[in-house]
Amino acid sequence: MNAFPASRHSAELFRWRTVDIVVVALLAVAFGVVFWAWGTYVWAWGSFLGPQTESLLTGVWLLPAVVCPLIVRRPGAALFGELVAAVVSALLGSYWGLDTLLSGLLQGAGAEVVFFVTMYRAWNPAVAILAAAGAGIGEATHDLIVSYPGIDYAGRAAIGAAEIVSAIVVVGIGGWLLVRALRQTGALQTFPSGA
Amino acid sequence: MSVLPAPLAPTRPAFLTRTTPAARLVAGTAWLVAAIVTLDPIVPARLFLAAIVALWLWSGLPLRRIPARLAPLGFAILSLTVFSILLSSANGDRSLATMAQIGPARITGPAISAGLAIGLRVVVIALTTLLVFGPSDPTRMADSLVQQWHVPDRFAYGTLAALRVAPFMAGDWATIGAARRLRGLAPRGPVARVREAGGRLLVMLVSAIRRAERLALAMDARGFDSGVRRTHFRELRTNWRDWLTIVLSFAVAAAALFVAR
Amino acid sequence: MTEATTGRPLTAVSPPSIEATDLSWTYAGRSRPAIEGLTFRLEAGRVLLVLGPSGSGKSTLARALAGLVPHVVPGRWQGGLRVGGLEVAETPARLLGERIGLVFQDPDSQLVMSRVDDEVAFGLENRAWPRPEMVSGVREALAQAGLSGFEQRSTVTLSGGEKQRLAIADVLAARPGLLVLDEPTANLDPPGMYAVFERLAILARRREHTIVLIEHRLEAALPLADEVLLLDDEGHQLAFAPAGAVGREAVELLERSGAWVPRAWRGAQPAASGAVEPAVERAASGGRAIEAGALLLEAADVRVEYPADESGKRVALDGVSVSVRAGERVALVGPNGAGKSSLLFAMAGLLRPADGTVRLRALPRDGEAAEPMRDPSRLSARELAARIGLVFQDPELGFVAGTARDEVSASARAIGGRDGTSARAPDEQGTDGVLASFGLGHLATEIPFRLSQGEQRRLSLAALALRPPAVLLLDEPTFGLDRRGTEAVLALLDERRTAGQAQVLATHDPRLLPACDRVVALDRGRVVFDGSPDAFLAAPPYAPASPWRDGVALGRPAGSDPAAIPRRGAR
Repeated sequence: MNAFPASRHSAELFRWRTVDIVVVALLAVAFGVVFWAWGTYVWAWGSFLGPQTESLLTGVWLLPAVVCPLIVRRPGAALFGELVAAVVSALLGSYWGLDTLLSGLLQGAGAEVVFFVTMYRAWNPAVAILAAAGAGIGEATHDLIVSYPGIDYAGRAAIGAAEIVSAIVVVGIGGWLLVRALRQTGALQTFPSGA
Repeated sequence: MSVLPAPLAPTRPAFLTRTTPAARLVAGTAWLVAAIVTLDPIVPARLFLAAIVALWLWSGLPLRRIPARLAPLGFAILSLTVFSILLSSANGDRSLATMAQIGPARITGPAISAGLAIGLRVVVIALTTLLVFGPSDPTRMADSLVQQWHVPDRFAYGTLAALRVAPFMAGDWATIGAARRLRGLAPRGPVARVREAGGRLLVMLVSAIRRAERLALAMDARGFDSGVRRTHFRELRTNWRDWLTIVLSFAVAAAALFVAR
Repeated sequence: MTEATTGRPLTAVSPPSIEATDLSWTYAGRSRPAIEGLTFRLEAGRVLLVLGPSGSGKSTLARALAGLVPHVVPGRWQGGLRVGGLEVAETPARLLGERIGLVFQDPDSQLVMSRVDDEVAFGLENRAWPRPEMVSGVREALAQAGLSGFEQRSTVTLSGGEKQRLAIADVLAARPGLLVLDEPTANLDPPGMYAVFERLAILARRREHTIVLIEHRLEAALPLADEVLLLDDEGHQLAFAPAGAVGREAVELLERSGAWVPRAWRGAQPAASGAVEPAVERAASGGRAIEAGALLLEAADVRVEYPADESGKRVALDGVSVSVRAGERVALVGPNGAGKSSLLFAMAGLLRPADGTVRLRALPRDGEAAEPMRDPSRLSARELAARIGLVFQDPELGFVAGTARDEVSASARAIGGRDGTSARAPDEQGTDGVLASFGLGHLATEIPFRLSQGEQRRLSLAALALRPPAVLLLDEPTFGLDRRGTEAVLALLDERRTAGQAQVLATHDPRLLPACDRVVALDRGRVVFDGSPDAFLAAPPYAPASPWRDGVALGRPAGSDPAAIPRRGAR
């Protein structure tokens, strides 16, 4: 008690407060709602234009994997955030459902690995971009197996590259800018990222 | 004002409504794996039939509402199938007979069959999802994961609390959009649109964080973080229906994969 | 944490006394304390009402009593606070949590579970109650809150009043000795508020809990209180005294700090100038001569439906006709779910009615012919913004810019001169002039999200000042504001109305009705009353009518028999 948020000891680092859990879950819910609201026409347009173009849009789905950890700075935040987002979209009537859990797991794990390598200590744009790329690789792995297995190698390479580029731009750069904007609003004051 | 779609809930007790969600997750995963490991359309076709039968006889879900729920999926399935056929690696194989020629694109038999398999696969995933999540609500799912799989309960119930707030978040989203329109903000051009979307998303996230802080404080005030091992108001136990469901679903998955045509 | 320490108070905790000794708390990152130097002693089983303006630290005190401050929220603690002999800062949060129940203001961010019985059980599960005790505990707590039979209901289907009574059941279930309620009725319509106070009156009479109540609805809360604690706008203690014997000086200080002050106390006082209630009463008795201005907005036979769930289409509005004229202020009232928000959204063209029409037009300028009435849902965003504005209950959802200054100029920049209302883009001087007139001059470069609640509300009004829309819709414009904040908002609205603006206020606060020219009452999607505030207050068109008529002045729960409610532990 009686302390301003002090330097972060490793025991404290691994301890999720209730507010950390709920904020990651609720951010994932918020993203789920936004995706649901945008989903209809983003998907409709994307799939109309073919898989490579569609892949450029998929980065948006990975935002929780980078935004959540950048805010709460706790181990597992990328994985937890993506899994909750997957559950939410399943419950909001996404038709992929079960499969979303699988892709969420891969995407979250891809980003989590990057944060793990930094020992959960670095939260700069470079790390954000690497984590986004990790999430993108996880997503590409899933999509190439589940959605696009029959396509020729050149096509699959293009799809994978498009997904990773999209992740880097939308999630790495966009997500980092979003967290910076959030910090400026003062909404992150109870989190390590808001100090 | 935007209203989230009401979840599809069972209208009568049925075999699957008496199974635990964890068991259905295991059972459903068998079908998911069977559907994605092969490009032979007969496998998802068989699973599709099995899923229809299971939904009809054992899910307790209102069948008449299912087609409307899945309708938005139709477009995605169509495009996925068409593009899988058009871009298939089999089309480049000169040893295969040409089935159709659309302009410069040559289409082979294996391409069509793989495309059908991928389209059907998505349908099977959607129906299996309904069978897993449909028969009970999210609360049962959390109870089940915590009690049967020992998922950390603070994460499970923290997520559940956040899910309860989803309809209010949808209301916030609509309100934010309305507020911006009423201020005369009508972005023109792609850059302005992206900026506008970013601004709207930012306000949404601020609202989510504010709600999360209030909710977390209320949960802590009720001892959520007291470090005591929680007890369970509603107890769930693995029962014979669970085992039967798992065994049957694995049998069906194996049959779909390995029974010769 | 070992299993042996789960120590569940399955028998009721006896009500504790509260003793604060020079208590101060500063939130992490703030320089000024939220509360400073509080010193008082409340005896066991008494009811304390805490009064003070916005920013007086009332909620902070509530959090300290529940141990959230200092154990969950970071900051600096000084002095002492003992609850039942336990020093809060030195007692583990878990032990405090077993003895203290805290009810918050917003029902939708304190309920956790989707079903009523699960919801009550949540706190008991956290405290590791054995299952059989949980089952009986849930049943008893729901009975105490007047919610027997609600066990299987989904919490999202409850009314606001039911949700708050559920929140009370949640904390009662754990059998705390101390009950802390932080503005539990602020979000509620009059019947919901009435039902909550009915329950609180029963609890207070039993003396089985020490109760700390923070409330703006003073006429309802004061009769329950044994003691009152008065705080000023900087979190200092003005007085701690028996509710019936508050010194004249303390009341004057409280009034000056901007807080709501009970009418009973003001009776003997010379009314402070500009106080809302006298001002409101003047407006009502003087009968503002309404110049029936030009028709600005007309909704005719409007029907609004929402997409189906299991039960089929939900009808939010059915055959609603309302017209609003220039210079007129209309109050829109009705219970939660009566269709107030849907009507506001339909009036603003944000949802298209399934049937019926909405038409509006800009304010005609002197010597010019009025433009034809137009369908708002067919107007462009720019045309719409020039004609109608909507101030939301939560101002944050409406912010569009990064600084207060840009927030004020955003609409004007977007509207520009395109529709002929004005060819001038806003200059910085004009913008800063608006900020200054709304008391926000020193905050021009501040980020809107960082402002206080009252400042945010004023900014949301200031944002519509450079290009005032012909019709202004406001959803609960005084929600969460103290007396000073409410007066400030009404003064700003008065100025606009004089210039011909039509205003529609959706509100639960009966105190605002006399400041309006007309009241339109909705019930289940239909208009059930359209007439003067006096006529509305004389005979509210609801059954029962009493919560609407004397919603601000209650204390005698009619028709409730405390003996009929099972006493604690008597099962």
